[in-house]
Amino acid sequence: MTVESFVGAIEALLTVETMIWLLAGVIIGIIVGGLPGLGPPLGMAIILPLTLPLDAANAIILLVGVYSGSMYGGSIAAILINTPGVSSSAATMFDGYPMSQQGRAATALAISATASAFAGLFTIAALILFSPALIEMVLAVGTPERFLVAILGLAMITVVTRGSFAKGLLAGVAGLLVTTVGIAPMSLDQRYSETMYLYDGIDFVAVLIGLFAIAEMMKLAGQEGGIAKGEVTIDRAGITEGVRSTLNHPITVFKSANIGMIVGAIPGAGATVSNFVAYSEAVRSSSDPDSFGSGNEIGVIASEASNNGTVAGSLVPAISFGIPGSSSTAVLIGGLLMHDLRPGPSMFDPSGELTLTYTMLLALLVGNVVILLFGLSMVTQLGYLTKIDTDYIIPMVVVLSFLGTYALRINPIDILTVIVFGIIGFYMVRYNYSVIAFVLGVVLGDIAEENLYTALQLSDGSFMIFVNPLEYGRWLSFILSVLIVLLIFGPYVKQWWERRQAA
Amino acid sequence: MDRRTFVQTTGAVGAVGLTGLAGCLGEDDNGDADDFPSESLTWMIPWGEGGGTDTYARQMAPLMEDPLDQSIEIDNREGAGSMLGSEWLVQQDPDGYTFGTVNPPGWSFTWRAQEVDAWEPEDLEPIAYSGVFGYTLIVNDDAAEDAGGIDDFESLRDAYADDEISGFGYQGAGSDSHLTTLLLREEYDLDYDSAVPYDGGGPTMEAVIGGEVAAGFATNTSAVAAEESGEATAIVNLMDIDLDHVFPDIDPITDYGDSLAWITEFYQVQVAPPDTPEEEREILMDAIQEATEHEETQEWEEETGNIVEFGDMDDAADQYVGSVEEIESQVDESIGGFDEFQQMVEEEEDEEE
Repeated sequence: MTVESFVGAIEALLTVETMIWLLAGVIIGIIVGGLPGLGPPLGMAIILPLTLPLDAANAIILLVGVYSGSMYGGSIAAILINTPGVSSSAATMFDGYPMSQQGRAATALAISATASAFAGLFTIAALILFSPALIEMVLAVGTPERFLVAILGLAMITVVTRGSFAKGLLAGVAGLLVTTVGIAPMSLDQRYSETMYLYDGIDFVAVLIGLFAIAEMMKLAGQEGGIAKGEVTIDRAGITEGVRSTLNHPITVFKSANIGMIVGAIPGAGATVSNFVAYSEAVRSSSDPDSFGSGNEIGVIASEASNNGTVAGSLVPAISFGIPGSSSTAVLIGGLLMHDLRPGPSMFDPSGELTLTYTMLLALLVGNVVILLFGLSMVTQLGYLTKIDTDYIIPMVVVLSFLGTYALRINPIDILTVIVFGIIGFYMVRYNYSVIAFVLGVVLGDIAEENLYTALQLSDGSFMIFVNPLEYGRWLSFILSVLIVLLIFGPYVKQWWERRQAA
Repeated sequence: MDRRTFVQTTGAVGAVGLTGLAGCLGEDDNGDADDFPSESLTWMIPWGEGGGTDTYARQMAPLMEDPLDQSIEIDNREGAGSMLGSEWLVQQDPDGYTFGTVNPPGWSFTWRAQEVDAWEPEDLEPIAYSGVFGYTLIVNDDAAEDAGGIDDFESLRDAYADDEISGFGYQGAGSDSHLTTLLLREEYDLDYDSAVPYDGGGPTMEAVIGGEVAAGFATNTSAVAAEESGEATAIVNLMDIDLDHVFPDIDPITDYGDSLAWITEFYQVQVAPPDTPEEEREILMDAIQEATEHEETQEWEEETGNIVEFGDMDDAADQYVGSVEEIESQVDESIGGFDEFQQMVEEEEDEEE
């Protein structure tokens, strides 16, 4: 009986011991997420063997606590020092860091905590209610759909680019070019892989750290005082403002959380992609798109709501099919197996492990409350970071960036990447090339290439697999293709229509 | 994070680096095997966190700490299909404090396919092996049903021959599973309509579960997960190792031709840098044996479907010494050589274009 499982789950959760593990997980997650390079997979992998003595429920709660906490933790570094703590908080930098510069770090941090928590709460609740539908959806998404989601993301360049369109396009294509380095993902072609260190290409997290952290530190080096220019308000008012701002944009939270959950449920896409899609959608639907990138609170809301929404989404393929959508969920599946829990339909079966699944999901619900409380109570202390003189900040961030980058995969090429892209990022900003467009290219290039190749293999080389649902039965592909066309040509059609109406 | 946590955590990360340095500096003091090991050890895994080999190491490492009376740090050095980590290991001090895991014969295959010339697999010294894994073929249940039931290799072969099912997924172009795919067609008459590469084991399994391809590769452990999903069934065992206790009805490929174990069975072999003395390696080997026989490991084996198997130093050497030659002669015999394999890979690409 589903209700019995649910009641059982609540009973299991409401013990002091379980609560302590949950709290520990979320706090470890926030710390791991806050340090660039030390993403959730590493944090979870280190904890995994330590969960052996725990019972299954507590072990899984500890692991998902780390996972969920790190999604919020990533935003702290993004907002305060323009470095993505985890790659899925990259879009938080676009408006979060400008807010810090304007002395509104406290507001940005409060928004991040609130949006993360509410999106987490909402999506976990949705997961509890609608898991059967989501399971169906996971099966409907295949290779062609993943390619189209990547293209949809790339088409967002038209939305997020401000100023010269040609420059935006150029930046996006340059980003795509970066992903061509290394052995081609689906064939044996070697591209610029003179050394073995380049076989797996250029790591996009290293690119992100270079583009944002290092480039920003270079810029800061020429600036007196702290990161924040002018007056810094780190008081309760800033926090209240942040919470209120989030609550005033329920639609953005709702929409971004949904985007996070749906894209997160697609294995291989995950939080990094959903993060950009949600941000771009916020820009697209805004009445004042030009204000994004210079401290628009909605940008932070969208980004942070989406990455916590992703946690719920990514659990669907992981729990129901044992499909790891990312390294984090791969470690989580390892944890399930270690505790004799096999991912599969039995996890959602009342006569199977449904009670445990509910316990885990409810723990995530409570975990999001922890994020909210912990996040809000830390804002004041964290905000002071933006007041510290850049003479102290710069060396700290630079050291941390290099250390974190090296920890990614212990590849010296990554260090070189950080330096090179630090310089590129510095000049891109100076000459008004869209860094966001560039990042979209870098993040989506591999996903697009890999899935295009495989999709064409499936269709014997016919591109019709993306657009002809009658022959291939892929309606989702067709819908995505239509969306892409709308996204690219919609604004022109609208302009044309308005001009016609006026005439 | 506030500044204090920031500095503390950075300190902790730094400490890991310093421990590594101490390992180099302390070499002279600890050359004596009598008190080996007198400081912490580093276990290099040439793959990322969360993968199969990483999971084995993280299971074994804590259980080896007791007999060794030292802590073991797992050091993930992924890249270039495990070649980066291996190359790193070749260059480490031969003091026994650094060792790693490699997965021959897939490892030897990658080494040969990438034409690495800076070092050779046989440069590394054997310690022991602790487990084995390998490939099975899984089939989508709905596709199997539509084709009137597919439950062994023969019916799978018939279903492809009669065009009742479509698509065969493997784990990456130019990989060992790609070679196996070609071998299944050439030598075992598996006449699939199109062979589709996916980016590794997870995506391949997902494609079969989702029905994008009717059948494909899965390792014995992920085949367990595939069956649990209720959407796919493991029907063919491509290894020589018996899997009947996990999959009672699985069909062994050896009923249809020669063994494919030389390319479908992989060992968790622990190796040490060149010239690491035998005494130190023996101490490590004993600790590995203790870990594999530990009660916790036995439980883990049952729960996860991983196969734990201990092999001593000589058994470990057998797994990779001469394996490049063996692979070369097998490839020569079946498809005419490595150049031909690469040519076949390229031709497949051209067909698509």
